[in-house]
Amino acid sequence: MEARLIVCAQSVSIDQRSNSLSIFSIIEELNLPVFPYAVPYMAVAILLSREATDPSVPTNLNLRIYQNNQQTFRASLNANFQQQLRLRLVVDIQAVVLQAPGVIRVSVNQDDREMGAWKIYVNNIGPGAAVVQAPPAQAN
Amino acid sequence: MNSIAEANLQNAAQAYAVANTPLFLIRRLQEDSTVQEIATSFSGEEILAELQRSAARAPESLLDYTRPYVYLIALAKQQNSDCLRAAGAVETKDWRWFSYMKDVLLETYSPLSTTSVLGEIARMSPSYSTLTRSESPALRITVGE
Repeated sequence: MEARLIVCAQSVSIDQRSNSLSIFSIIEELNLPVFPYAVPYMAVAILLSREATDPSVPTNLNLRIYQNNQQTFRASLNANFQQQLRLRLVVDIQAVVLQAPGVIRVSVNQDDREMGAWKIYVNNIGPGAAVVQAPPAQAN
Repeated sequence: MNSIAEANLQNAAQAYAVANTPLFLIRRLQEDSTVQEIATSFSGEEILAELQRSAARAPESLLDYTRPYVYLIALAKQQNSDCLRAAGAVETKDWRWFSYMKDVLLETYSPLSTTSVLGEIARMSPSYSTLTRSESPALRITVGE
């Protein structure tokens, strides 16, 4: 079994008529003003393929998130190929806390074997100073 | 609709009437909103049962010829393909495209699994959506110091 695609995005949807998968606003990098920062929502789209000899219901599939090479999150994934050779997995992740700038790696694994990963570069752009815009003084 | 039998299949029947190939009929029925409504409103078992009932009677009208195809496409739109596979056992000798369409739909069936997982903050607080920044020191942001 292998992951043909894994990508993180702001939104993933399935067209009801055509059953096709659409991915919107791929997350390649995050520019954040302050840390720690809570990303409220992120979607992960994964395409898995298997050989005919692989089980239709794979076991021990999991999603992991690494922040600067440290694992900070892990979740089990339920998958069922339903006797087909390809499977679309959509994982909605809510409220992930990013502790520091660097590289986020989202990987899909079976046991400890990594099948694929998506990197997100996280930049600290600083909070910026508030600037008060005042109207020009009017002459009396 | 309260039952599958109440579904308005006029558009589907029109598609069947002009279809010259089974692939054309598959495409038109996949685009039909009534077929979509049947697929989302009823379980695979209910649709399969209705398919068996409709195929058990000899067709007498255009709608009778259309029904098994409609239910077959609706089964293909389900998240679980078990009932679509079971449709292959239904006797459909009066519907000559049925077997081919069932094979095409199974061949092109693309399963989908969806999972929602909660990150650290959501797991700490069930009411994550109502958290304000002042309640969580980790989220406090200072601007313009």
